[in-house]
Amino acid sequence: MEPLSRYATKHPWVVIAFFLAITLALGAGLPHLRFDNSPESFVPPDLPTKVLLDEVRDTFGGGDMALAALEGDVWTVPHLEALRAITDELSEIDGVLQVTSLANAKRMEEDDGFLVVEDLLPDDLTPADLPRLRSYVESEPLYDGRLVSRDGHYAAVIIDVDAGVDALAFNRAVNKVLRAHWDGPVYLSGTPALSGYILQTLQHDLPLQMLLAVLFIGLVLFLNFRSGRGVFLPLLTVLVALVWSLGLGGWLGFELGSISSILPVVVLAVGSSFTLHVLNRFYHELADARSRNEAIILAVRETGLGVLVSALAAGAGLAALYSSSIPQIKFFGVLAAFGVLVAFLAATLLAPALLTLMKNPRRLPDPDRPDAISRFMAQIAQFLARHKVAVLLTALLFFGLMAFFATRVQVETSFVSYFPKSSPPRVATELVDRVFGGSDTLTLVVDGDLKDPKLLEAIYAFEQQAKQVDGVGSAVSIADLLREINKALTGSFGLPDSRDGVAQELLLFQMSSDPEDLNRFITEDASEAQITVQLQSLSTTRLKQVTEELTGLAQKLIAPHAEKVRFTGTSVLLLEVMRLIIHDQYVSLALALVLVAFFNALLLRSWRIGLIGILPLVLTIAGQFGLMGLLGLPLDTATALIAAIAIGVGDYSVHIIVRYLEELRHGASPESAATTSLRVSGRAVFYTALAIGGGFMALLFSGFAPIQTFAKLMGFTVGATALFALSVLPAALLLWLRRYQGNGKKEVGNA
Amino acid sequence: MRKKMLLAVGLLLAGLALALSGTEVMQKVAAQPRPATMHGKMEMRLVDKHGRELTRVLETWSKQEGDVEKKLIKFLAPADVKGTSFLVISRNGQDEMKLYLPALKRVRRIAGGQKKGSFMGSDFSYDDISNLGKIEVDDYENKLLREEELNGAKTYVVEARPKAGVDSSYDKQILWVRADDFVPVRIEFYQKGKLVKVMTLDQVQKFAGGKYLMPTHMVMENVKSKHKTELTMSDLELDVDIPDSVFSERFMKR
Repeated sequence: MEPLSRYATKHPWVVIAFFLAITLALGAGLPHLRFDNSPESFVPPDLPTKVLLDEVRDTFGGGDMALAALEGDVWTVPHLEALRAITDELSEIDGVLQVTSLANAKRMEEDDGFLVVEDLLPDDLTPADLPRLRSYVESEPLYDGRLVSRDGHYAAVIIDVDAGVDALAFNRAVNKVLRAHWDGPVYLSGTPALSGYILQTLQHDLPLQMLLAVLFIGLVLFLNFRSGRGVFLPLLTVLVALVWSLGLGGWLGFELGSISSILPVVVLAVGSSFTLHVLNRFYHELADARSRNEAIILAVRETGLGVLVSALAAGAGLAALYSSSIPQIKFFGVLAAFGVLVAFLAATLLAPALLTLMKNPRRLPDPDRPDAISRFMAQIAQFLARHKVAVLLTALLFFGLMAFFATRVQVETSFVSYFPKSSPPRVATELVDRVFGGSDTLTLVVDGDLKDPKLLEAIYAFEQQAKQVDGVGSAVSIADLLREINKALTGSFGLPDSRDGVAQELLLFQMSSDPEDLNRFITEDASEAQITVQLQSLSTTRLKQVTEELTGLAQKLIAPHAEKVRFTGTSVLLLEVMRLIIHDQYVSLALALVLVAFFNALLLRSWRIGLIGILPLVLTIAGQFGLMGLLGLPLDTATALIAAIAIGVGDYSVHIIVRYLEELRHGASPESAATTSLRVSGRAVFYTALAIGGGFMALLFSGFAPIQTFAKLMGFTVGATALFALSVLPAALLLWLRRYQGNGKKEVGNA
Repeated sequence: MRKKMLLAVGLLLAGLALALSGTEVMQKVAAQPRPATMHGKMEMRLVDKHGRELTRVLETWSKQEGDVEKKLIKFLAPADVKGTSFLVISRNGQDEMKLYLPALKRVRRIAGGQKKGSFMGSDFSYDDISNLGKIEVDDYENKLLREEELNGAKTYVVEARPKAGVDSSYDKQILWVRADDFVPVRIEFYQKGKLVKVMTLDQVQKFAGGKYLMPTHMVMENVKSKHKTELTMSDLELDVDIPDSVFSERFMKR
């Protein structure tokens, strides 16, 4: 560290040129940053459910379902004509595979002795046609309540969207078409629409959050330093780190999603604390009447170790997210860890280089004149010296209590839970759930002889029972289509009783439509069919129950007549995400804690210190999950990160430990070492916590509910780590580390 | 002598090929003689984009008497649809259609409006299969785009757009018409300005001593779904006597 800072003070321009060059090179990657928040961005590509979903999409030509509900009296000529125009124009949008509405529905029925197979809406629609249309639609289970609400106040437009679509462009195009033709309110829901809203929110939120984080952090820096450079230098180093990290993401072709919106704030908040520590020490050294360059070198040397440990720990905590199986979280972890390490580099190289070029500040803080905060810290130290055992026992009790509440945490991954209750996507989704039975889908793939009437009857029976399950809107398959055809042919709903009958009715359907229409339900050779189950947007817990119920039904009814029955669908993918999140939590938590303990131990040369050092973190993480369980906050894709980020932001312990050891080394008693450590480093910890907490408060303004929850939890996290670092940690040090060891000397504790 | 003169003029005209207008090309296509009756087999191979296929075999009878056109189609294979038959009788453009499904043992009358629909569940529509590039020349704006060599034969490339008010499934067709015999060998079908289907007629045979030119193998490919249908005609008999009793309900059920 010291040679580097020495170099920086001698050749400041070289260092600045180096940072400038890399900033420009990596910054050029920024325009290449891409955004994706589709369900696919949350699951590993080789996940079996995902592989099956791709296969199903390929076989049956489908994608994700979006549903637009149009409010207004549907049974009028102008509205039906508007519906026709909308249906036509939506089909032209990029990525739209198929559009289904009353406007392109078929009429297949017995009419005056003729079998009629034709478009439901005649080309020249007149008011006289309406009663006949309405009564036909109301008699059709495939249309009634699916394409038009039973009261006739809402029309549905079901849009089948290619899974790889640009959700943002899709949303814009669809809304434009809907607004151009429909005079009443419109509601757009479904996974592609929600993905679009999420990206839209993201693009709105990112700059706003960065600005707010810079403002909040800047304010705290000003309170701490009361000088322009005290604000400017730390912010500059983190902005450099941010450009490097996001630019690298751009060059590497990473796709950012909702989780990534946390990234800038993490880098800004965590990174600014490094320069804050260095700068604090620099002022102290200047006040001790050292020369500028000497003060810089000393500041880096003395705080360098602490800053390095906390940068490595933060980097490790974040990089541990790379073990996640969720691609979005992986990318986030890598970029955040990189950003934090760059911030460290900037704090120990760029900041000294810039300081060398600046004039000495006119006003210097007096390190010996205690302010209110350092006085308070000293009082804490005296209290801890007397009550260390009680403090540690209280901490143990807290841990136990929180661990108990942590078992109650629920996982939530549904997209709709991203949005606050009154936001348009949430309102649209709830309306579509109520009126049309939902816009989420679950697919059952049935392999077998699909011309076998027994199998078809089983599928139909499954659908009937599935519809009774709370949360299921409808279920549609080839069996329903055959019942329609059979009714048109024979006058009664029912399935043909022979294989030949099935084959011939399928042929009739193919003859009366496009051949690929049938392929949406069944393969050409009738060996594979899909049942599409429409679901309301359910909480992850409820979705899991519904899926289990449906699996049970399918096993009981369909499996005995089929070769294979499999489940897939976007909703099932998100269920898998839940499983992965839970699994990842254990892995990344354990990994991160081990890494932090390891770095502490390695750099401070003692395993005992490593273990004592992670105490505040362990307590904070228990507190986070306990709080989530207690307040009913869900573990979701954003809050899944808090433990890892707590490790990143909350490693204040090291600064306290480093100072405590420094004092012991100089021969101070443990009690006075703790007092000095808290008075000097404690003050820095206090301001760092404020800066980091302030940075994270910017996330309260996020348009995503999980990120808002995350921000609140981060508020707790920052406060708790600081609190534990200033109470439990010194108590533990006083109890278990009363003699100086380090630099390879064998440790002699008196535990 | 006179015949030789005509021949010479004909050759001269052929030489000045580009002198033909799009309308003239399409008139020559439409002027090809059609047989009064036709009987034969048709093998229909449906192939989806994954190469999964299904083959159907049909037997067809058709007869043209003045303004009345009769057509009967019967499925021979696969076994589960064998005997399914379809009868169309067109009088002055009015269609009467009947369907017989053996599993139901009943003949059903079917309402009109099928002309634009799929022909027997294939990628061809009824219009596609009965026209094979022959259009009502006066209903279209025909424009000769260029001359082009296609599979070793000189062709005229003609764009045909329906005139305003003409009911057509497509808003544009581009036809490759062989210059020597005026048989369209490739047709592109456009809807809303986008290419939707491509028909290739890659085998054209002479019948009745060269009087008729009939395509015996053709492929229609749906551009978007990559689904395609291959039709192979065999055992074709042209201008043979087909009794009216063939076009009856009783024959459908047989």
